[in-house]
Amino acid sequence: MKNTKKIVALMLSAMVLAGCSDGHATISNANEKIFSVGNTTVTKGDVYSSLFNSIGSYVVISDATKAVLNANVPITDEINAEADETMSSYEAMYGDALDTMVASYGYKDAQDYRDNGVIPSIQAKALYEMYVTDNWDTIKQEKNPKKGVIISVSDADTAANVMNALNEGAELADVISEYSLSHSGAEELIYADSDYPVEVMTMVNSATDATYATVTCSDGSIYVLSVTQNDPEAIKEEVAAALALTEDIQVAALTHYIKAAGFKVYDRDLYDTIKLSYPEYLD
Amino acid sequence: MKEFIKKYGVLTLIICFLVGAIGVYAYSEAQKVIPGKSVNGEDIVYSINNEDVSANVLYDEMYETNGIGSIYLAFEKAVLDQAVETTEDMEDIAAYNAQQIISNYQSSYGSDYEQYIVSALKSSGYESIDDLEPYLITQLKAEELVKQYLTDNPDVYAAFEEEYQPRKVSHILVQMADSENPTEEELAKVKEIEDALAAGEDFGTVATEYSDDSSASSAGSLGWMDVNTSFVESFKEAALALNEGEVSDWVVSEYGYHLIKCDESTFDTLSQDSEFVSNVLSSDITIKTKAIWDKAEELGIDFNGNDELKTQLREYMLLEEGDN
Repeated sequence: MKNTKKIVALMLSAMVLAGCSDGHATISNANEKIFSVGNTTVTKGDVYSSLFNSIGSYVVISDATKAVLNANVPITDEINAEADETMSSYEAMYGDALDTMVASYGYKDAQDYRDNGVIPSIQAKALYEMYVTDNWDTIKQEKNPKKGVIISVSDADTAANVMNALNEGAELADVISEYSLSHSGAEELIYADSDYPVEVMTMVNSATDATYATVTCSDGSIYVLSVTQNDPEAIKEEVAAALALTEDIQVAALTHYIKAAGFKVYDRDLYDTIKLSYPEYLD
Repeated sequence: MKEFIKKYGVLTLIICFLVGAIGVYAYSEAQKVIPGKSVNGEDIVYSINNEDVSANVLYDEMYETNGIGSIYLAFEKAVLDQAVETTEDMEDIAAYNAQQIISNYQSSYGSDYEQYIVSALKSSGYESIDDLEPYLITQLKAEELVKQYLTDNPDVYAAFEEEYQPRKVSHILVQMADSENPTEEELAKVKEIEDALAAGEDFGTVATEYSDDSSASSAGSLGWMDVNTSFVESFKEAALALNEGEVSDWVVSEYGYHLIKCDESTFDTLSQDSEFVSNVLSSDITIKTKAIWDKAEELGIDFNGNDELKTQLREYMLLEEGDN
């Protein structure tokens, strides 16, 4: 009976211990007094908790992103020059109001904005491009990038006019301006998930040369199109630059590099907060 | 052995089952655990690129981002908790408002509503959904403190009144396609309104009956206004020139003809309104920070010898040299 009690006590202890070893980081001098009002004292630990609850995950993710940017895209003379050029254009645009403008974004002054706003954004763009290049085979297969011209027209007669004009050597810009419904239609990158009707995408995927063709879709829309570049390798840099601006690639790239940098959290509360907003960064 | 199994067999089976179950439970719990880490006596929050970032380093980073804002929230809360007693009324209002907030968040965010409320509370220095009512009570205490401060310091309200000319106004609008050349029909409506008022009918009743404005449904009331309210100039000028209870002559604007009544403009009447303090603070937020600082001095403030923090906090509160 005595042994049975011991076993039960051990099992209960094991159950309790199994769920009790989460980490909760705190600062070394948490009891240091910051101020007191009347009979209430506010300590450094109180301020840490308050800051941690309100902006902790934001600051951690922001710093982790900076660490990843600096590790993968060192700040070169070229990046500095690009940042200076960007700042010059802002100075020309905003003049004396520049400091006020950057202050509204939460920066101390123009220099702080250059160092902590402009440079990281240049690094980030380079990182996203690097992600596309490093994962080119997968992205090429997934996105199937091509380059072409897709002109949306109102009816079959207009489509015929467009075909005639282009075959007779008219300037593309002039044809678009005269006939295109959307006034778009300049040469563009086309991906497997581009937002065009299935009939257009089928034609894009089957085109073998750059001749113009007319496609009438089941929804009644009509397009004149031509695929000008079928080989993804020939447009690799252009595709990388364009995809670097898309949200899905940016998220995928940051996730990839943050995880590759071994991002690991040792605080339960921080882990739970990050899990809500950036679950992909955690294992 | 047979004897033992006979005697303890069932118990042994139960124990084996429990040990197994605990093993599985302990393993699955261990998978969920976020183990802590400590290096040279400092707690580590996270690591990246093989570099550990301690809570001390994170504190400095966070403090640089919004340290003084966080200190102000703690300062304000400490003052309000001590200066204003929680009343049953406050608890009832907070409970009702909390329910309203929860309903609004539920309809906007569905089952995820709680995390959005907690996120909003965290930005104000609170931690969990259980803090919603305490947070709302603190807001009510702040209103009470400001109202008391304005009552105790008539010179503060007098200066505010002179600068912003606060008041509540109503109007009756006769809408016109061309205010400079009213039609006979429009002028006939103007006359009807004049006759109704001359016959002693209440301004609000006449507004409800005749005004060509959505405010007709609330007796012509346009609510709180001051020098910064975005009304058309002729309307604003006439409204600001009225004393409490006075009605203007017809005022011409691009919308037509208006009769304007100043419903309330004195502290005694305006301060009876439940939105009085929020209206005052929408014009001048420093009245709240002055009230907080004033009360804090009364309670006794000690910055632990850190005069720089005192200066930074006063700057954050937009207090000038002469304030308090």
